[in-house]
This record gives sequence, structure tokens and C-alpha cells, in this order.
Amino acid sequence: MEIVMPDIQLLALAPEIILIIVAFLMLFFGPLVGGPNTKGGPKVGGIVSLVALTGAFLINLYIGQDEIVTLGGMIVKDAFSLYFNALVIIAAAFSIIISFGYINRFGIKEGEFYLLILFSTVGMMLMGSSADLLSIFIALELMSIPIYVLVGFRKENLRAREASFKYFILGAISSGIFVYGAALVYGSLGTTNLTAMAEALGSNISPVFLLGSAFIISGFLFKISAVPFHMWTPDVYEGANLPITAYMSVGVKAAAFSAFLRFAVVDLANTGDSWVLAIGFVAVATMSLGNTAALAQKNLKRLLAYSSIAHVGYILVALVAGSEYGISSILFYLFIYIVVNLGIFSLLVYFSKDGKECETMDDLAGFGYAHPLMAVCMGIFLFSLAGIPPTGGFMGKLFLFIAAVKGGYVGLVIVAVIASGVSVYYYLKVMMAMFEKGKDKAQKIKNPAAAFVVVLAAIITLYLGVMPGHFMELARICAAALF
Amino acid sequence: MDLPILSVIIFLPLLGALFVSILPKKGVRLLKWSAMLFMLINLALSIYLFILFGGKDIMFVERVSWIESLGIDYFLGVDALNVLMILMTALLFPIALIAGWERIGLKGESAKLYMALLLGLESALVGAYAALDIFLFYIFYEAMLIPMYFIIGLFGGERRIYATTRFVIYTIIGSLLMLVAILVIFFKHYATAGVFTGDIIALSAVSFAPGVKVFLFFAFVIAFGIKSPLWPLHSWMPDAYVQSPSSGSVLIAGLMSKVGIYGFIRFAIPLFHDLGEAYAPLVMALAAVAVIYGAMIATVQKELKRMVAFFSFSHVGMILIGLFSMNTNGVEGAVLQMANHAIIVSALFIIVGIMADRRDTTEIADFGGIGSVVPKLSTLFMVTILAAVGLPGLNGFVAELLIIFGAFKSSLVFGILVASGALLGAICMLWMYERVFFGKVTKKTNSSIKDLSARELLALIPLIVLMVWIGLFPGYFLNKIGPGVERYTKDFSAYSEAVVTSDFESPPILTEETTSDNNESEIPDSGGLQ
Repeated sequence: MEIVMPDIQLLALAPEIILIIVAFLMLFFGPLVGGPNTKGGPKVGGIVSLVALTGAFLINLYIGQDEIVTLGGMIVKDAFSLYFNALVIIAAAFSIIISFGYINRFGIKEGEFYLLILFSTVGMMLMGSSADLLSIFIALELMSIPIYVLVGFRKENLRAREASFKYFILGAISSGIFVYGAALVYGSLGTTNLTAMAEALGSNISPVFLLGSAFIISGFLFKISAVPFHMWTPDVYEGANLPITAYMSVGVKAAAFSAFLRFAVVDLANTGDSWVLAIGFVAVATMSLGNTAALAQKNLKRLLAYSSIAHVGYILVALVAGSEYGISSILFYLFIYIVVNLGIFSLLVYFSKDGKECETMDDLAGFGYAHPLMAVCMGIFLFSLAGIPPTGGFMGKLFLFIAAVKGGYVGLVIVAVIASGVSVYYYLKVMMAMFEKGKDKAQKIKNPAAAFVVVLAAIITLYLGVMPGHFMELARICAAALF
Repeated sequence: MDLPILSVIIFLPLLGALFVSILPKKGVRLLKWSAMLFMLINLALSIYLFILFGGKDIMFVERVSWIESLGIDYFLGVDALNVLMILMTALLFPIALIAGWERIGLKGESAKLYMALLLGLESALVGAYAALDIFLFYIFYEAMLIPMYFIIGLFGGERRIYATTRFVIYTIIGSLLMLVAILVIFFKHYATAGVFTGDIIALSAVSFAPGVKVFLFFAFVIAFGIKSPLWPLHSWMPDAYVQSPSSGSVLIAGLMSKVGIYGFIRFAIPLFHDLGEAYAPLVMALAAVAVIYGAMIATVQKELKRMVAFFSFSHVGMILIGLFSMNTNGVEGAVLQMANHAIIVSALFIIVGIMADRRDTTEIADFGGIGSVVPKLSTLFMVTILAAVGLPGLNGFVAELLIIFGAFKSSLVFGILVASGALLGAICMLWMYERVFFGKVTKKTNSSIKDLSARELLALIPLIVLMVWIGLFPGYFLNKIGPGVERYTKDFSAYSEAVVTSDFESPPILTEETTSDNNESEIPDSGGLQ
């Protein structure tokens, strides 16, 4: 059999290549620059990673929005992947920035912390650009395996180890299911390339294909933590370090959505109503469970985990609509979701004391008075999550709901609205916890990096709430690349 | 282009909020005075706006495309329906600030936060009144929850968290329901006209299948019913009113509840005028329950703040009856009574707040016979109560009379109910007054309480002046709102068309296109008192 090397366009892959090279350099030379037990070690790694990410971001912009197909059709660089690559780079960069104030306090000395983030980021970027079930799978694993390690990075912490183990086992099973689905699809259509699949599908949809699709979708639903594949989320969020929880809650979710959306638009659109019903059902279950379970939480990380489950539900509502507008509203929503979540987790990092994370409602008490600016930012984030104007979260929800109403799914929107109403209760509870009287802890906190991310995120959240037009236009252009 | 005066009135307080938040935290006086300055400038601008406003047109229109892809505009304007409330909003904020001047008793950051919240709330309120784009309205309508949530939650009484959470959840559920309705209308308009728009006037032309329409109408009724509050959606109200700091009660009862009523006038009725007429008896019946039940509950209250809260609830019901009588008298009465009620209820809450300052209690039983001890306070309270119960010569009378006329025109039963509600309210208030002020001083501690200070007089006098002014010369106010309301009630869709043809220059001059074919005999607008 003759092996033909596919045409490889290096420029299109340059952002990923840069990150990989830097990550390997860090792996090899890290111990020389600053050994595991020197104080500056991890920080140097962080700064190098930031520089690499900035470079990747700029090249990503330079590639432009024209479609480039490379690696034998496995990788597609278009406006859509450009958008998601930018998102995950932003998520990684800001998670690294907030980790600066954190690693010293929590005694993290290993430089591997950052190179694992870089490897995972490459996986996330490939998720957004993959146009083949195989490359999606590889990207999925490249993204996930470093995260399993990162979740358990606090080795002395039992919760972290347990969370890492749980995430690893369940993640491995979900990957298995995904591959099984890919095999079934290959069996029914004879290809794993998304575009070729769409052509081969035509009008005859075999049960094998449907089963395969269902398995693939289950794999995606696991990564975005939609019901009924959500169980790992609260435990893993709770167990991981705050910067990693932040990174996971935004990066993994965005990346998983990017592959999911491409798969959904290219292939599932041809299969008609059968999957609409299923996703609709998942959306309702996800919104309801996420919001009701969040009501009872006292631990902020768990609360945010359930809240993130609920938000996936809202996004699925627009996915059901499936239109170009729906996809663009999802892109908009994911961006604002990422900004807000990074903001909130940065705030928690900001409020964390040496060796003790700020993670319960009680830990927040009094901060509203001691750090009013941070409290105002927290207010903006929470109101944004609750979907109250004039925040980006409101605009995001508005666009999602508009997409669903446009598609004729008013019932789904009503469920989303009720769920959203419920969510207000627990977001406000967090807000009020900051203003518990009598516990005024006017302690001095020095964490300018985290404070910077918080304020920046708050400004973007407000800006998108007042002036969503331009960004929505960008999301529309990027979504159009899929159609 | 002229000065965009409405935008200035909306965003100046927000600018003020930003300004006070960068002031040094130690200078509480400076904080207060800066906030006051911003509020007073706004008041001056609003008075200017009110003086310039005339007649039936929509004036001071500002329209800029905002979210282009969805046809959502930054669209503001003033007409007979909102001009008074914009004025009242600008007026009540400085008064609430003066009333809470000492009571705030906060230092540093909390004082700063309090001022910023008040100013932010003012922005959102004026914005909600001035918005003519349905999405813009919704955004302001929701945004005002944020500062109010904190005002009650941080500066309120013992059960403030419970009260504020309940208040916000009720309101949010209502408004989310409204959002779904708005989206449905929005898409229906798109399906028929082929363009997206949030323009309330364009949206009112959309027609629906009967079932859908009823759902949409009631989504609005529930949202605004919760806010106003309308029976039986009022159960958040007593706690929120009572737990608020006094200045918060002034704003929530005086201004925020009016946004609910205004929502009925501006959105629910014009969008569904036929359903408004069809279901008017139902809404009026609910409002009538509020009128009678509220007054009765108020009568048996042992605590002053709760009593004022239920009294206010009863009077809001009266306004809604006037509004849903859907004739010129009723609507005109309702529009005027919105302002009156804001004035009166604010004065009542301020006085109760002053009494609470003196004695740290508002139980009626803790007072008794204090009229001789605090002559100024008892006099002003008397005037306020007389205005509240509709004594001729004071502001309550004119509007209540118009509402009662309107109600009678619409149906005898509702006329009788409103009139008897007014009577019950009078009994309740006067009986309370007697228990608190008349007779001998029943408790020793009460014999030494201080009378009104200059600052407190400063907060109350403008309200009293307005009560007398509107009472004696209602013509000035009715002439401003009369023509607009008349056009509104004559034909809701014609009102919309007339507005739609305007060229959106500031201020637009509309041509009179509706000829008077309405032979309703009208009450002389001054009520013969001028």
C-alpha cells in the first residue's frame, strides 16, 4: 500500500506548533532554569507560557478567516476555529495569570504546572479545528490527560486526588464511548471525515449511524457536563486548584462545544427531528437539575459547578434551534460565560488566604465592606450569570432565547426562563454572603494579578451588556463558517 | 442637534454614582453633598422638561440604532403618560436623601455604596419611564432591581435578606415571563413585517391567534401586577416595604411600584388594547379586591409602616381601576394619581421614619397623644393624611374624583367599590391618627420627643407644597397631560399611528389627525376648584 503524505500547511498549524515546542522546551530545560525546589521556577514557566500563548494568539489572528484545510482534511482552519482557538488561548492565559498569586501561597513548586496547561491548550485548539472524528478524538485526549493530572496537582490533598481519579476513570470511559461511536459511524458510512460524512449521509440514515452518533454525542455531553453525564463536575471542581477549576470550567467547556457544534451542524442537521427531541430533553434536564442542585450548595466551587451545568442547559436550548443565528448566539454566550467565570474564579483566588482557598459562603463574609471594588465586580458577575441587565449575561441569554423562539421552541424557552428565575436565588445568596455584617475582615490582600483579571472581566461583562452589537456581528461571521 | 436632555437626565445620576465611588471614603459630608448636587441638577432639568412639555405629542425624542441586527433602538421620548413620573422621580430622590441624611448613619464605604446605589437607581428608574423601545424598557426595568436589592439587603431592617430575596425573586419571575412574551411579539412582528424592531409602537400593530394573545397579555399583567402590586401578587410587598430603610420605602412604594402601573399604561394596554378592554372587568375586580382588602388590612395593623404599606396597596388598586376603566377620566385620574400617590406615600413613609428615629419603634401602641408634644410633625402628618384620604383642596381629591368618575362610567359596581374603598381608607387613616396624636400623652417617654428638625422640614415641605398646589390648581397639571391622555383613550391604535408618523426630531410636532368624534362629556379638569 502506498502511503501518501498529506499536504501540510505549516502556517495554519503554527499556533499549535509554537505551543508544543515551548512546552517541550520547558519540559527539557525547566530543571536547568529553575529546579523544582527553587522559588522562581514555576513563575518563569508561567511567564514563558504567557509569551508563547500571546504569540499563538497573534498568529491565530494572522491566519485570517479564509478556510484552510490541511492534514488530509483532518484539520480545518476557518473563522469558527479561529474564534474558539482565541477563546481557549484567552482562557489559558488568564488562568495562568491568576495562578501567579496562588502558586506561592499553596506551595506549588513544580514547573510542570504550566507545561501541562500548554499541552492541554493545544488539545483544546485542535478540538475547535478538527474536521474528522479521529482528530477530534486525539484532540480530546490531548486536552483531557493533562487536565486529569492538573486536577490532582495538590498531591497531599485527599479531595484533589479523589477528584482526579474520578475524572480520569469517567473521562476514560467517555472517551471509550466516543471512539465506539466513531467506529459505528465509520462502519455505516465508511468515513470519519465530517464533510464526507455529510455527503455520504444523504437521505438514508441507518440505525447504526444513529447509534454511533448517539455515542459520539454522549462523549461530548460528558465533556460539557450535561445531564445525565454531569456527575463528576461538582467533585472535580471542588477538588481541583482554583486556577485549574477556572481553566477547566471555561477551556474544556469551550473546546468541547467547538467540536460538538461542528459535529452537530455538519452531520446531525441531516438527521432531522430525531436528535432535536433528544437534545431538547437533555437541555431541560440539564437546566432543571443544575439550578435546583445549586440551591442547596454552601461550597462556592460546587455551587459554580452546578451553575455551570445549568448554563450548558441554556446553551443547548439554542443548539436545538440549530440555525446559524443559534450557533452565533452560542458563540456569544460562550464568550461572556468564559469572561464571567474567569472573573469569579479570579475573585476567589484573590480572596484565598495562604494555604486555604476561599470556597464557602462563610469565607466571603465581610469582603463586601473590606474590598468594595471587588464586591462590585462580583455583583456584576453574579448578575450576569443570573441574566439581569445591563450585563453581558443578559444579552447572551437574550440572544439564546431569541434563537430558540425563532426556531419555534417557545416551550423550551419557558423552561429556561423558569430555571433562570430559580437561579437568581442562589446567585443573590452569594452576593449577600459578602455583606454579612459583623464579620468585617479588613485584611490586606496583595494579589494584583488576580485583581487585574477581575476588573478586566467586569469591564468586558458590562461592555458586552451595553454594546453587544459588534461582538455579536463577529460571532455571526464565525458561525457562518460552519454553514 | 439639541441637548439630548432625556439622556442627560438618565445618565447624569449614573455619572454621579461613579463620581461618589471615587471620592475619599472619609468625607461622608462631601459624599452626601455630591450625591445631592447630582440629584438637584437632575431635578432642575426635569422641571425644565416638564415646563417645556406641552400637549399630546411625544417630545424630546432621541433615537439611535443600538443593536442593529435585531432592530433594537435606543429610543426615548416624553409624553403625557410619563412626563409626571419623570418629574416625580427626579423630585423624590433628593427628598429621600434628605430624609435619610442622618439615619444612614454610615461611615466610609457603606455611605459611599449607599449614595452610589441611590444614584444608580435613579438612572434606571428614569430610563424605564422614558424608554419607548420595548427591550430598552426591559433593560432599565430589570436593572433597577440591582440597586434596590442592595438598598434593602444591606441597609434594611432585621429580616432584610428574607424580604429582599423574596422581592427580587417575585419581580424576576414576573419579568422573565414578560421577556418570553416580548420575544414572541418580536418574532410575530418579524414574521409579518419582515423586519426586526423593538419599537413599542410598531409592535402594537401585530395581530395574534386568540389563545396566544391571551397568554401574552397575561404575561404582562402578571409582570406588572407583581410590581404594582396587584392582588393576589402582592405578598412580597409588606415585607419589602417594612424592611427597607425609610428612604428605601419612599423609593420602592413611591416610584418603583409606579413603574408597574406605568407598564400597564405604556405596554400592556397599547399592545393588546382589545384584550385590555375584554379583560378590564377581571383586572378591575382584582384591583377592587386590593382596594377593599388593603384598606381593611391596613385598618387592623398595629404597626405604622405595615399600615402605610397596605394603605398604599389599596390606593394602587384604585389607580388600576381608573386605568382599566379605559375612558379619559379614569386614565387621566390614574396618570395624575400615580404622581399624587408618589407624593403622599413618600410623605407618609418619611414621617413614619422620623417617628421611628425618635423612638426606635413604629408600633401604634407605643405612641398616643403625642400631638401636643410634636405640633409641627402632627400638623404635617395631618395634611398628608387628609391628602391621602382625598380631602378637597388637596391633591388626592382631584385624581380620586376623576378615577371614581371613570369607574362609574365603566360600571356602577366598580364605581361603588372604589368609592367605598376611598371611604375605608379614610376611616383607617383617621383612626390611626387619632390613636397616635390625640388625647393625653400615654407614655412618659413620649412627652420628651423632639419635634421636626430643619432638615426634616426640608424633606417634607416640598411634598406638602405639592399636595396643596396640585389640590388647588390641578388645571396646570391636567392641561399638560389631558390632551395626550385623551388621544390615548380615544383610540389606542390611532394613538400609536399618530406617534409613528412623527419625524423623530426633537421635539417633533405632530399633525392633528384624529378628529373629535368622541362625545363623552368631560369633567371640568379643575374640578371647579381653580
